[in-house]
Amino acid sequence: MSPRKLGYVVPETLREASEFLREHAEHARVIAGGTDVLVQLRRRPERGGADGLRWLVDISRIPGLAGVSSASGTIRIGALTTHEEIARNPIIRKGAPLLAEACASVGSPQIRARGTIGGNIMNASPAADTIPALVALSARVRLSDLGGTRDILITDIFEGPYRNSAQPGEVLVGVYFDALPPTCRSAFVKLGRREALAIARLSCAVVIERDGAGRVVRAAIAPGACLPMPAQVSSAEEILAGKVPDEATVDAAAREVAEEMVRRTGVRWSTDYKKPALEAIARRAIWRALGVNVE
Amino acid sequence: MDEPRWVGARVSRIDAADKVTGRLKFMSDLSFPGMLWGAVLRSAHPHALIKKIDTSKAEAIDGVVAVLTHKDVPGLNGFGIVVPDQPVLCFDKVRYMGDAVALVAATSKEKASEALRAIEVEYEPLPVVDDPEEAMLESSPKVHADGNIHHHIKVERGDVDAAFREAAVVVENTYYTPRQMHAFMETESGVATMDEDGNITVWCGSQHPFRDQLQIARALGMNPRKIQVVSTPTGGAFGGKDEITVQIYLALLALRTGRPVKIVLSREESAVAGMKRHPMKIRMKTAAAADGTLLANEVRVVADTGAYASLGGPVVNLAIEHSCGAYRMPNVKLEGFCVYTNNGLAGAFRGFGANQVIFALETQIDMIAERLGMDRLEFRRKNALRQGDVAALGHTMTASVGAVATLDAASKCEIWVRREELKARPSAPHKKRGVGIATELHGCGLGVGLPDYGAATIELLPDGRFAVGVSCPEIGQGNTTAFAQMAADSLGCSVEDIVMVSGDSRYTLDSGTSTASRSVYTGGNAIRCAAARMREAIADVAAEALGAPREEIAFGRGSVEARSCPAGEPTRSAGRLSFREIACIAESKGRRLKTEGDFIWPVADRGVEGYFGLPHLIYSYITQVALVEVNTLTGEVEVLRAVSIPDPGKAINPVGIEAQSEGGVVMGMGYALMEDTVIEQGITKTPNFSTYIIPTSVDAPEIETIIVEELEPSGPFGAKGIGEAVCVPITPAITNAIHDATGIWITHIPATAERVYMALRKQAGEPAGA
Ligand SMILES: Cc1cc2nc3c(=O)[nH]c(=O)nc-3n(C[C@H](O)[C@H](O)[C@H](O)COP(=O)(O)OP(=O)(O)OC[C@H]3O[C@@H](n4cnc5c(N)ncnc54)[C@H](O)[C@@H]3O)c2cc1C
Repeated sequence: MSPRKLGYVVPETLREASEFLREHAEHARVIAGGTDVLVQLRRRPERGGADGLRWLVDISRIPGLAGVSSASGTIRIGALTTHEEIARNPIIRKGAPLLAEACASVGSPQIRARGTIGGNIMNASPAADTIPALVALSARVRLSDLGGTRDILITDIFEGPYRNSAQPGEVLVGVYFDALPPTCRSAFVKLGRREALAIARLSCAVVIERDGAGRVVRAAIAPGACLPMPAQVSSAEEILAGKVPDEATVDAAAREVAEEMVRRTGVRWSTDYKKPALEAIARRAIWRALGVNVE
Repeated sequence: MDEPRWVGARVSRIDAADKVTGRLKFMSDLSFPGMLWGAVLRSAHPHALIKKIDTSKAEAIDGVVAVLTHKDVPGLNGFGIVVPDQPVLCFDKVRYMGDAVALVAATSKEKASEALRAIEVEYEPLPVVDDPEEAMLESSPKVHADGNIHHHIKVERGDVDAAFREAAVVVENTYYTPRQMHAFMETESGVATMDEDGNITVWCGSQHPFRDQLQIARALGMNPRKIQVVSTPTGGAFGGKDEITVQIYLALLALRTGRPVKIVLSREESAVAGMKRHPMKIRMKTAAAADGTLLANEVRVVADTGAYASLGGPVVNLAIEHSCGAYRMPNVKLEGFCVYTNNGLAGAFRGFGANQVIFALETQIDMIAERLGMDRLEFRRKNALRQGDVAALGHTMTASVGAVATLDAASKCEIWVRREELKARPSAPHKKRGVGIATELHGCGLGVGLPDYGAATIELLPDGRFAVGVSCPEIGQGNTTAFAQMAADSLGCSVEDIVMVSGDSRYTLDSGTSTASRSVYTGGNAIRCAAARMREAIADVAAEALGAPREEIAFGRGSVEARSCPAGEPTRSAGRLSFREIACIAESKGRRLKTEGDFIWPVADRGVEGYFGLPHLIYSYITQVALVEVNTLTGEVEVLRAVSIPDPGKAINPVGIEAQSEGGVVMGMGYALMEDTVIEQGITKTPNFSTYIIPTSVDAPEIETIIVEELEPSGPFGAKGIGEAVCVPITPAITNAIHDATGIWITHIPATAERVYMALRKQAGEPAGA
């Protein structure tokens, strides 16, 4: 580990934070829970470490960035809300159970108590657990800068692995999405190398809304840790749409998720395993979003 | 002597309160006034010639107090338990990424790292030797000038070829095992100090302070008496701190600067530079007769020992010794190679060569049982060694043998008895359950041909308590608690009256290593000897003070008394003396009661000509059973339950045995399912715990430990040892359970989800990539 001297600033307002971040551009970085940033600082620059960094901008004192609220069917989660709070929050457990599941699967109690949803999004790891859930919820993120705020679709914040599209000076203030109605069910399924402290090797988030007759009105399927960019797999969603899903339909949709992954990534050495494994967890997630627990 | 009161009781660890409250200071917690931070410059290449080392820029940095290279090693520039082939500081070439090229001491950790970066080393890279079998070829580049085969062992008995011809079943397979990391919580760390007289004290977690003292003295060219090594408490070792780690670096820096110096390896540095379990490729051909009698085993082991010897040779010897497990095997042809490569460093690791071969053998055993249509447990029981049998290497099993007893207990454990019922109820239709079993014996002590002795001291303190000294360090296994229990019962006092002194080369006598499942047996026997002498010394003092004949002195709990008072005379309270009073009386005469005890290990009736360290006389035995569930869609394996049935001889502390057993199960489970230090072209790809995956508490199964005590007459209170065996058969118990669940055989561990999934697909006849 190479030591480095870093300045640490603790702005009290969003304006102060943005001013500082603009001024120092690539030499400054926001720190929220620090569970990604601090790990990156330990790494040598040539192995993805934060090269050229001189300032950490601690946003934890800025008021109004933490907590979950809901108003007229829209749920807002402040950027500083921790995984632990989200996993336990009644509004989320009711209105976006898959996100509660995703947050509950992050790391360990210690990591969940420090890591924030804002950090999870902005770090833009392909394996980030909240991202597929937020994609399946069609969430929007709000960025704040000196000139005000702008809202963009969650999928538009990503530019590639570990790269987000925010401009220097922009701070993520929160994410927004519509609470799922009672006609919706959802699921988040993750495949790791062990039961806890496991980075997702694959994951899949699914939201399904059905009508009184059991027909799928709307399906959202977002796999994680396997696509070049976080996204829904509309071709798989279409297989479910309008049907009362039976085994064959679910199998077909799950297979399509896996095939779409291969189309988007090409065949790699790991494809032999990842394709059937993704199919298996997509199938599990879809069934769970249909109310059938196939474990 | 009275019935033991402490031995066999569920005594809580004597260090428990200090550990759970964080009061206990490990060596890496120590600080001294004026202390400097030391750091080690590691190699930049897995294999290269050193052309030039320039330290001038580093020396010029403000706050840098010393920069040392090979030129500054006053004594032998090498260390190694068997052959000192590892340079303290490299001079002509580097052989792995963990090789030390220079040392620095500076006023802060940051300055020390800055200095490391300022040292300029010119290398000429050499081709990397990373495949042990290729390394064995004449044409391979040489890691060491005298060739890459560090050690070769060959043992033959009987006629395997004839046995293979006559056998009803012969199975032959190749097995691959991973490079497991010890993953102790405290990395290799410590502090060295020097006094005005030039005496050096090295405070550093390790497994044998006296051998460290010798190796440090040799490198420093100093009288060992001027060097003290303190290595209790150690924050976990598992064999990874048997060899020298940072002790010599610490001592060199303290010697040069005259100031206290501390080194704490980061996890990454520890992962790259530290010891690992030998990856082995094992070819095994095993035969049995139609009635299920094992006839022959032919074994070829190639072990990747990495850049230096350390204990690679002995590990391969023990792999050979354990390759026929707990079975009678009349015909054997066993061969092992220990090969140098540029793949890190491999050496001692809990199990010491047995883990690899027992995984292979116990898989072979299941295959043969299946081919013969025999019950797996019955097949094992039929062939298991009994006392008086001749073992595979030709020595006679005269000590206690618990193979059958542990198998008997296994046949009655719940997951074995109810296995069909448990298998019939997986948690989901695409999941399959299976139950696996495996057994082994495990050599205790150092084996034939190596000096193996113990020593203990006991001193009666002024307050009536006893200071008991045994050098075998407390590395977390709980040996100091077992020592205190044995001392309490041997002396006739309470565990609270024992003050343990452990792992200190100044205040204890050399009792050897805390390795090889030996410390409780060795230290216990030495304590028994010292305690008997202490009782005599106490009786002498008491007899004189009470004016009673020496034979009349009887021991109570914490006191002695003159047994019979002359007839008619009322019992006097003065007829009884507490240990404290004894201490006072002795003190008043200017005496301190202090005794020493010693012990030399018994050994097997025959060795293996030309080799040291094998076979053993005393073995611990263990059978382990696992219930697993395999997800056939993803290949994930979950261990649901495990039963661990050790025969440690007398369980001095059943809680301690359970703790060993549970830790061992989880360690062997990690070995079976997830752990592997990946090294590609000499570069470690898994240098920390986000990439090197070990089981967490959430992954651990429900573990039941059933202790079977086959008392060993030569052991203290009948004890043998158990520290290693507990992590061994669980690995094949798990892989055999995967077979029981799915029909696939695991020959390559860890059985990761991918490997299991691919094997399932191959079994289903689907080509890869379908
Ligand atoms: C041991 C361990 C286990 C982990 N396990 C998991 C896991 O299972 N699943 C998982 O998804 N992640 C895991 N992580 C990663 C990490 O904990 C999460 O990504 C977490 O959500 C990051 O949040 P943070 O607040 O700690 O982010 P920080 O480290 O503070 O920041 C992360 C990045 O986001 C930027 N950032 C943070 N907040 C903002 C903001 N409001 N506006 C603009 N930029 C911002 C920072 O500049 C930085 O680039 C693990 C990490 C560790 C160390």
